[in-house]
This record gives sequence, structure tokens and C-alpha cells, in this order.
Amino acid sequence: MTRFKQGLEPPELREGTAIPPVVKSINQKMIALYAEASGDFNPIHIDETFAKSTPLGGTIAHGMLILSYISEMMAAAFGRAWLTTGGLSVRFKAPARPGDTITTTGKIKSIERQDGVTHIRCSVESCNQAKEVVISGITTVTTINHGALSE
Amino acid sequence: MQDKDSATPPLEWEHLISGYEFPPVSYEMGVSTVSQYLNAVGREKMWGASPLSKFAPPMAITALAMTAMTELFKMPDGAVHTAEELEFHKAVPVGTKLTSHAKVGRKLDRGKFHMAVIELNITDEENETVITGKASIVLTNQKMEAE
Repeated sequence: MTRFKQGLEPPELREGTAIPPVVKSINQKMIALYAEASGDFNPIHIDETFAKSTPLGGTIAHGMLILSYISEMMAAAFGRAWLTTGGLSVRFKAPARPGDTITTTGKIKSIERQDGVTHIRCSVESCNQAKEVVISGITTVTTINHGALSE
Repeated sequence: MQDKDSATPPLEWEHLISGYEFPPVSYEMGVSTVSQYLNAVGREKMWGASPLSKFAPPMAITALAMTAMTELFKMPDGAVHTAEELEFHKAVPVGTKLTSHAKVGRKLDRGKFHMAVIELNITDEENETVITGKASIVLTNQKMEAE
């Protein structure tokens, strides 16, 4: 589960540490809510008739909705540092569909400490219930004070 | 949502060229906007109870910047988002007015393959950059594989 108040503390802050995952079940109502909130009314997301006429065969969630789960995971783990120094580079590999359960995971791949600043690089991934990768990529975050990451 | 000239018709995909700069668009990360976003992504209670609650989620800021851009440019139906790069430079308190500067970083139309990379630079009221990013968008005449 997400841990906004704690974040990853220095003892956990080492290469290979898994970031607490975020699990979300997707439904059409959530996609519609996201369309309203973001203003992205692309019919591939909200128009079942249109979406069925495409090779995708039905509506899909907004990529930015699924990407928000990666940001949620990183914010939970790294607190304000994510908001001020976070970075991500991802590719959308497969669509997320209504009915899918998306599990977003991450792992610390490298940590570089220099002059009181800690640079952290993570691999991140969102997969559906069939373990198909929906999004994959890397995230980065920089902290100060020997990696004290909590808010 | 924005300060753009409402008389300007949105651009079509074929009008975009590499290097084209969209007019800047301003929008506010107000309480209701942030709340609506958090509700949509299922985080309203979590974020509201966290130490980060006075800030707007960076993905909300980015999503609204993309939307602001698409009000200037008619995204073809079925356009898909294939990649995203983002860097967060500054936490944005709820209520901040932001300005999104978008530019076509790259555009390629080859046969049925059409892609563009949109570069974003989002600044706050002090004209400081809060988020930069690149979004890759592909059109395949509805022969889409993924978003």
C-alpha cells in the first residue's frame, strides 16, 4: 500500500529494494471520470462503438491515467522529493482495458551519493492481471541529507 | 481554462511542423480541479491525508497542460500516446496559475505512419519552470496497437 507519511527510509534505501506497489482495478466509470478531469475525450477511451471499430476492439484507459499510478507509487515512496526532482521516461506497451487490474511496481536499480546528494534510479512497470506489461520505464529522484526521503 | 484567443480555430494534424510553437496557454490548479483529478485517479483520500496535500499532483499538472494544448490543436480521433518523458522541477501549491508552453519537437509523416513529439515546458506565476516533458503521439489511421 501507499505510505505517504513514511516514505523509504535510509535502511531500505539500497539497490534492489522494491518500492511498495500500487494496485488498481480499472473500469469504464474511472475512465470516464478521468476524461472529465483531464479534458481528454478521445473516443478511443469513452466511445464503445468507435473503439470497437478499431483494431483495439474496445475502449482503453488513458495512458496518462495508468502513468499516474507510477507517479503515485513514487510520491508515496519518496514524498516531496518526487515532486521537486522526480523524472520519468516510459513507453506505453499495451492498452489497459476496463476490467483490468493494474499492478504498478518498481525497484531501485542504482544509488549514487555525492556531496550530500543522493541520486536514485528505479525501474518501474505497470502490468495487467495477465502479467502483460502496459507501461515500462525508468524513474529518477534526487534527495539530500543522506537519502532522508520522508516528508 | 485558458487565455487563448477563442476565435482561433484549432490546428489540424497536417498543419503541424517540426519546431512549431503553440501559443502559451494558462490554467489554474485550483482546489476543485485538483480534487476532480484526485477523485478520477482514486487518490482523493490518500493525497488529502498526506503531507503532499497542499501541492498539485505533477501528473495532474501534466495532464491539464496536454489538454490545454489539444484545445489549440485538434488531435485526430484514435491518436495514441506511445511514450512520455517528464521532469519535475518544483512543487506546485494548489491554487497556482500555470502557463504551458508547447512545441512540436519532431514530426514525421511517412506513408500510413504519422508521429509527433510534443515538448512541454510548464511555468508558474514567477516564470519558473515546474515541469518539462516530451510526449510521443502516433497516428496509424486507426491501426493502433496500444496507448
